Amino acid sequence: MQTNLSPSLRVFLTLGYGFLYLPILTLIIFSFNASRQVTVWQGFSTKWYLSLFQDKILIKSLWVSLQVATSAATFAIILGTLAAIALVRFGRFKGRGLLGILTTAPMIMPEVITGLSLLLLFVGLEQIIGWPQGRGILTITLAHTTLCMAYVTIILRGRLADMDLSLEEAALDLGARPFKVFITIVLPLISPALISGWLLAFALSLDDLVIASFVAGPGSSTLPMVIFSSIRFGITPQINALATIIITTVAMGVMIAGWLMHRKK
Amino acid sequence: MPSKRHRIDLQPWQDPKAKPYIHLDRVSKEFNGTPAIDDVSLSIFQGEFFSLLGPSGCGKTTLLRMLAGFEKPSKGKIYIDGVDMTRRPAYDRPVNMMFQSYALFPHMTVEQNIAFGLKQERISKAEIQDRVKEVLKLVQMEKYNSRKPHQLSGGQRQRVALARSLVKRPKLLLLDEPLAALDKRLREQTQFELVTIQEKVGITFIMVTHDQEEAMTMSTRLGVMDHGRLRQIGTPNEVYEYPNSEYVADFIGSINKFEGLVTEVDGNHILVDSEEAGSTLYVRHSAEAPVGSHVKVAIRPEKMMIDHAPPDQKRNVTKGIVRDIGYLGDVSIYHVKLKSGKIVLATQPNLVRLAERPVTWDDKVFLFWRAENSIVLTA
Amino acid sequence: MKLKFQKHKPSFSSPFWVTSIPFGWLLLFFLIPFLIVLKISFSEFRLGLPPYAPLIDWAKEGVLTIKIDLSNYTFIGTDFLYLFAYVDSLIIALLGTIGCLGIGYPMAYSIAKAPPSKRTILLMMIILPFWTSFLLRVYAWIGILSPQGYLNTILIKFGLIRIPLPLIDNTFATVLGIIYCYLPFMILPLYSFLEKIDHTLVEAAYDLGARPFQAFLRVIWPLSRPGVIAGSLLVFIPAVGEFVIPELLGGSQTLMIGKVIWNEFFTNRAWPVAAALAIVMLIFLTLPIVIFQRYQEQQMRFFDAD
Repeated sequence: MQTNLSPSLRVFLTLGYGFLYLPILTLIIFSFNASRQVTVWQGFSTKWYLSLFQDKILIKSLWVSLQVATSAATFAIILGTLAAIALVRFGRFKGRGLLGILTTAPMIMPEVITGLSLLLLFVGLEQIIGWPQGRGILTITLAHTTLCMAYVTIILRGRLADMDLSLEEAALDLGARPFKVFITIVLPLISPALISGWLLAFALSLDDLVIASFVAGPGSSTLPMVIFSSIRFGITPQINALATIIITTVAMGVMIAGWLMHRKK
Repeated sequence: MPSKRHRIDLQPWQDPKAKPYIHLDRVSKEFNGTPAIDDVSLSIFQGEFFSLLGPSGCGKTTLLRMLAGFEKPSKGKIYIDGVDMTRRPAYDRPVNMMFQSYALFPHMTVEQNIAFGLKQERISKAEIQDRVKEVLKLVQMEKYNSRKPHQLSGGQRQRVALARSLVKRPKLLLLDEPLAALDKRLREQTQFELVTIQEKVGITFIMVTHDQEEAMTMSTRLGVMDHGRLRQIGTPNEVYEYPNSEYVADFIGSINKFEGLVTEVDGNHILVDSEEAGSTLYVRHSAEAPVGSHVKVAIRPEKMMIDHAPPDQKRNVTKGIVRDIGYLGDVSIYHVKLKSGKIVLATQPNLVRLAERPVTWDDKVFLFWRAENSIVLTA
Repeated sequence: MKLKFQKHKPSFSSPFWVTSIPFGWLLLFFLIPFLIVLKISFSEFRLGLPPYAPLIDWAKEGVLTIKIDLSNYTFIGTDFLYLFAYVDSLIIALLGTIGCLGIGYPMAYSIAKAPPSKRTILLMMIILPFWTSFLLRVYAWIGILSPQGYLNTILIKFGLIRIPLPLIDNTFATVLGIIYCYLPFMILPLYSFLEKIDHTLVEAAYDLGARPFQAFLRVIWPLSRPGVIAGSLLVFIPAVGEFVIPELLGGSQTLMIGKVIWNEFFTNRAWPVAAALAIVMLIFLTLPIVIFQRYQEQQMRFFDAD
């Protein structure tokens, strides 16, 4: 569908994007404010950035978050790929409907419920079989894997469904066994989706506050948990600086990814 | 039309001692309870170019996919070169397929695409290279070996797909609508090439198509399918001139049919009284139709002659008024309305220019044909 | 020339482990946890850790007995605070959904109508905030809406108001926060349906005498309805249980159920009550979730970032 945009739609679109980006812009601008009073501009300064790097709790939580996000995204990719293959390629099998529901449900389930239920599972498991021992990076990773898997499955399902089935059949026809078909044909063709799925899973894990709060243990606070506890007491320019770093990192990542894909085409 | 002279001379299907190379023995296939293939038996001989012809949904593609090993028959057996292949997976069959979509691997070059099948066997790198080169030469694509599929035109992709399926030297090559993605001009030209290549490599081809012209031009024999059944198997000529049923007669080309009552049957002729035609029809060959049974007598439009003056013959004559003329350049199709209200088609070559043609709209004309040019349809 | 390829059944049968690994994972980490929540919601509150009576009691003869205690539910049912929290959550989520639809539909429509070269950029700009920190995007609104925030400061500077408007710590701010944070969830599914609409259909409607508004009402709207439903549910369902937004923007007067559960759990350490609250919320959400599941089967590809 494509026609010329009417002026009113153009205005609306501009306002819409303004709504999306103006708040982010204020964060960035006032991260360079010399004043501790956030709304009053008192000159340019990068001191909040420097203080950020000296905040040991913050740095430690960032490290926890990165560890969790890396492993959760990796597990989610593996599980999500298997789930997507089962859903798209295996036709009707027993439990397909349930698997379909289970793979998407974590995406829409209110986080409070997911977090609470996973915590109760971990506590129960520890009581019964003694694993996982206590709560920390491991339990957060398990919880995030479950959440991210939903998104990864949706992305890969779409990609697999779009893929011409006859490519796989052609490979079989030319003598490749099913596992080899997967390695030589399917995997290379879904690799862009695998990359974007991994990145999305990584970002989601890095971003989650609620689920992590439920399943984290002492000493395993993630970055959002540390941010949350500090912004509960109001706004500080230091958090603005952190926000700026996160936003620019993500924006650059997305732009580089977009540019790479564009160049590949 | 591609020359098939030497193949027509050699007709293994008429030799009772010849051993079929591909044999389907009472094969049936059901999808969730609905039959897709219904009790099909078929023998194809080495070196044949066999076409499966039929409308979409007739089961021809399912049959092809069973030969490739993508579907398992619900009943029956499939033999290739004497070996039971019914339960063999696709990657273990001496059969290759050229897909309708070509199914070229988009992340591989032309060369890698073609080498893919060879790499699955234990073949030395040098031999793989040689064979890829050889087959690229066969399809005249040597220059494009390092291109990716998206850098090729439709016709070039078709050649690569053909090369990829030929390079393993299969006992049987399956072609699923191989020319459907090409435009008309290229399609006609490619028909020739495909037949030439098939003759050169000597591999048995089975092609699926819905295009009757394509099937007629290219194949040694063809099978007409309908609702999962093989309605008729024969050479293009047999199927066109002697369709065994109304379905086959209608599917291939157009045909005029007159209903009538059989009044006389002899070893070499049948007499049919037809009210629809308004005359007695004399058919110079036999058919299994007892006296008193209802049959249809069919005549192809190009076998129909048309004139103002009454012909010498008494039988196989009818008359009517020209209602419409379709001008196709090389021929014209006359739509003649008979007394019974039936519209009969007669195709005539345009021997003279349009303005000078003798028969025109609203003319009263006689239609007649030779006794050996009509056939009796009982089914 | 466009080709239609026949769809066939996949060619290789399912290796058991491909299905069973993700299946097993989701059973263990998603389905079973709910059963545990259900179980604990029927359990007694106790001091200690974990703060509830044991899940399963092994009686002396080794017979399994499960204690069912309805007191958590009667407790919820008799305290109006919880009832209000549920009603407020549903109303706020609904207002947020309507707001997202009101802003998201015209935006998705405009993006779908934009030239293809610009479409990618416009879409990327919708997705980009979704990739950045949710928490920090909510945080940004504190700076804007608070009494000393940017908005009040500007309004006072221009002399439009004298005392700061109460923009934060209320329902308004919560709804605004939901609209802001969930807007991409609305726009993406809407766009994926609007983009597919063949513009010649609209032209055909014009040709048959429909005015632009009628063409929209009779052609575009019905065809985009699956997107409207998917997007609305994608906003509504998580918004009902939202915690961060009411916590940071809603103040003490906004009691959404997600926040109540959080407080019961973390502040009061009343795990069985929190579990019962979660179960009741799930019951409220069952219908929307079922509808959503029906839609996701076909068309949920919009999270693919490229």
